[in-house]
Amino acid sequence: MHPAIHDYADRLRERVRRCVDGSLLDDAEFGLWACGLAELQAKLNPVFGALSRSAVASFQGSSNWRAIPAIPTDSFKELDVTTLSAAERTVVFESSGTTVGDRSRNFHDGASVALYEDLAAFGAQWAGLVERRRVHYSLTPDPSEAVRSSLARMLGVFVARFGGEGSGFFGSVDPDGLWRTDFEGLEGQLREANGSVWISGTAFQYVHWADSLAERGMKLRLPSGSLIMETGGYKGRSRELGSSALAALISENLGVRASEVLTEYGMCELASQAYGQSGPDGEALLKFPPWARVRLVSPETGAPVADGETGLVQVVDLANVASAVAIQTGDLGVMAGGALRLLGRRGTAPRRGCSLMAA
Amino acid sequence: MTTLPQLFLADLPDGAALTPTLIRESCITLKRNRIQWLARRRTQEMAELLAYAAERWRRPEDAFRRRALSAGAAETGFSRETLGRGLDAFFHKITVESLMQWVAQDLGDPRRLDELCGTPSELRAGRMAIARAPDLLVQIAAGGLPNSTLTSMTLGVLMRSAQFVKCSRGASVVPRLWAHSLADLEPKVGGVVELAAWPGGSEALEQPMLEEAELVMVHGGDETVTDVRRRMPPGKRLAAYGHKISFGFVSEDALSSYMARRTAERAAQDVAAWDQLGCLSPHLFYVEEGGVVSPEGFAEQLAQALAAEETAAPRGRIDDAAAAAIKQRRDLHHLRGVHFEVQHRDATTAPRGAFFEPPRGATRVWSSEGSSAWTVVFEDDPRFRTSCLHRFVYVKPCGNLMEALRHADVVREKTGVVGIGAGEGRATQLAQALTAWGVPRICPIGRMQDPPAGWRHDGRPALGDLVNWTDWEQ
Repeated sequence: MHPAIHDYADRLRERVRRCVDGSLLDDAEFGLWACGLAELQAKLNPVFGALSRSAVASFQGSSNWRAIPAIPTDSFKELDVTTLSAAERTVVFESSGTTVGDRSRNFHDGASVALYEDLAAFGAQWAGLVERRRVHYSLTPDPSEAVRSSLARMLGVFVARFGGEGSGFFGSVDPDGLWRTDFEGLEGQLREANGSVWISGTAFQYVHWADSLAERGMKLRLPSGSLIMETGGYKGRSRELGSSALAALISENLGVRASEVLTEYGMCELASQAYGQSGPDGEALLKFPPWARVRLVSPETGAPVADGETGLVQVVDLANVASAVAIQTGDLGVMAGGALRLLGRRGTAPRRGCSLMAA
Repeated sequence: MTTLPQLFLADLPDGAALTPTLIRESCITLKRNRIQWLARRRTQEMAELLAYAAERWRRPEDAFRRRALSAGAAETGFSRETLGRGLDAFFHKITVESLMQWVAQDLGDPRRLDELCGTPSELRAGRMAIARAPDLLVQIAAGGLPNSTLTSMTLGVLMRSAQFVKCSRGASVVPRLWAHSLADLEPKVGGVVELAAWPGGSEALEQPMLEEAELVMVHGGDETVTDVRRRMPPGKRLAAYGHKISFGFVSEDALSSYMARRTAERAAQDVAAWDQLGCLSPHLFYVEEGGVVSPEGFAEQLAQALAAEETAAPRGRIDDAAAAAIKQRRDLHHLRGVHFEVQHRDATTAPRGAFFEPPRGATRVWSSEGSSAWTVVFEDDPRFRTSCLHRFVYVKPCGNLMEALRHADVVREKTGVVGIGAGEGRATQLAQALTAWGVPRICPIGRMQDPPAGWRHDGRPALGDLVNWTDWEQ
């Protein structure tokens, strides 16, 4: 990692620590951090540099974080969006696409992974997930087995730093690279648990778990005060549910209140995560920690949209030190009361026409 | 005309209850009406009826046409102009001659649906035959483009089958108006056609319809087709038309400074027709290197032509998800373009010598300003890309057709049509190569979305696939 980025990462870690302790990061200060990182990345990341030079608005020497151009997540499938030299890329986080060319790749080195881990932990603290110590069961494989999963890496941090005794991973990677979960093994552990637990997994894993319980005619009843964290994303691995429907499914099968189900929004192209709960009638209202901010732009014109209007989600994430500070996800969302309500990648309208279409 | 008579289930107000019993009774009634009213008519008579109805639709003042353009534009999302062009292209093809020729082409003799007859070689062998239309033709129509539904309905009337047309929710108005216009000329046709709309996959409603049918025709994606196939009662026939991918090839001899612009304008018509949503709409154009106008120059001319199309027949409205897909793609390709330029600034300005191979990968994007209306992406990378559609098209350079086809091999089994832009001498050669490759249809660029009556949809005889035969060996 370039010394200037390294220095930035160290200073950011300290600043974030103070955020978690309650220090505010206002718009102007956030802007200085974001534009400072963008300037460094424009020099060190050829892809982001090219984009910055082609952009109409300039962020150079300003605190206008809204002017920083965003890299579309799809670019991570085709280009090396990184400040790291080829030799420095010791870790790569990949999205779970079905074929190699279909996967995003986000490169890290030791220092940027360390920052990722620390800020993920701070993010969990900021979101109030670790106010009490709970046994943490992850449905994902252990990060040493799923080395390219940023999610497994994050859950590894949560288990190691916040998990009570007996915490662990119940997933494994099969020879095809797919994740399997030992639900019955986990249920055995749960039967012996005393006190509330924290379970983490992807949305499709919970759907598989619910199906597995239904096949065996079973329902669980977890201790009250438990926390069930689901990360969005199905990638065609199970039937797809909205977050409130998923919360209802989890609530019914695991015997927890819907309010104990938490949605996490993260992706391999972002270092920070948003958290939120689904209301009774809609998708989760997600909030990023103070060191990442959301911009919504009109998919039609690219201009910022007003609160309450649908826009394409862009995230300016100070923790993306090794790649690019501003990312354009393919997701649509609406801002409501400072929180992001995701609408997903697909519209609700039925598809038109009879041509095959790119996703 | 202020209100339409309530002839069809689809005319009932939204929310009117459809039940499996109602669907079954309707199918039985259709079959009975067919025997009483239609079965004995002759093909010529039906062709005359259809051709006259089509002629009326081509008149600007025609009430059905006007209604289709206003209500249809609201329902389908296409602009009035785009819808109008699409409907004109369809109704221009419906003439007595074209319909009778269609029967002769697919069935060997224009009288084939009326009486036992034979081609000269059949007669010499002492054989005659008659083609029997299905007593009830059930259609499960795709959403969006009305053409395929209009075509199948037209064939159904031509061969005097009873028809039950199940439309997608929000895609019934144009087929419904076609049926009304036929019933307006010949009320008995109204008694053998039924249209209804409900969300696809409603098994309870669809089962009686599938059971009563002699032949089921389905247009839709692989999932829909598989789902219907699974539910087909034994012994019933299914004619399925899946989703397709189409593309074009511009030969070097069509890239003179005069021809290139005309080819680009025709290519833009193919992209703009039905907002590129049809199975015959091009996702990309391979452009041969070595012409006077370069592939990149062709892309620029295509962009200008699409801008002109937008003025003449604007792209229809799209939802946020489709607009988001377009923006994400545009931004990706813009980024690839500026990144490539920075990486290869020196290389691309260096003189091209015998030992110097210029790097590949240059990318340029042309797009409508402040809207998602149209996009052209030039990408110096011959790998096939599927488009996100709604008038978003790729232009890719290639050494020759064989190179283009090597890269298009990933979509070979899904290809609907290949449009070619070429001089006369070259076109034959290209068509032979494409035939060997296995494409079901080859046509000039500019006519991709406008196949003639009688074309073999997905390589199958559209009318021939619907009939059963009785052979008589004397």
